[in-house]
Amino acid sequence: MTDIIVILACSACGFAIGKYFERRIRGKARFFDDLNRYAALFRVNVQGRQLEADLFNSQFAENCGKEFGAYLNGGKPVCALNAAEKHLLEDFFNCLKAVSSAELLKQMDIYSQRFGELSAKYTAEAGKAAIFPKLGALLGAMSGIVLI
Amino acid sequence: MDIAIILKIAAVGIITAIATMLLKRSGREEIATVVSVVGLVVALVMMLDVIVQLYDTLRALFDL
Repeated sequence: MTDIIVILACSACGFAIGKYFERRIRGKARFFDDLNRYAALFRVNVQGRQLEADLFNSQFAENCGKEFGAYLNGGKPVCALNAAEKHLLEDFFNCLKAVSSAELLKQMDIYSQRFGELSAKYTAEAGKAAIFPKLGALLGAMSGIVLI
Repeated sequence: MDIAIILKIAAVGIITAIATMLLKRSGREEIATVVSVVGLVVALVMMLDVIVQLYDTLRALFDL
């Protein structure tokens, strides 16, 4: 009986760890998807309504995922980004302070392409992330069998 | 020899095979290879005790 409980407990721990990694990857995919949308809508804003950046950000934060919303409000990404991605984000938000709209639109084109690539990459990874809880449960069961 | 060790090694083998198959299907071949190696090492470690017993038995038998 104890053996079965140990195996079930280890499987549950493994499942929980897998679920955590799955949520991390999906959060990152949502972040870059929102960032891609933000770049596209900001471009439209520059060409059209020309709302103030703070107002635009607060309106966008109400309709996006919590990861990007938290970044817009707090300035710190809540999902794990590597150094290159953090640098890209900083550069992008610095370029939004460009003086002329022509220069801004030119920069937006370059960044939009990069954000589109990152969004596609992490969306593909998020699609494969469903395997992590199953894998975690299996490896947890294996650890439980070794422990008994 | 206790039959439980055989069942444990069989269970580890089956779980490793299923995990490797799942990983290969999702396109993560390199992680599948690592999981296979880990499963193999775990099975060998589980068998270590039995191998040591075999070695001691052979030594006693042939008076080495």
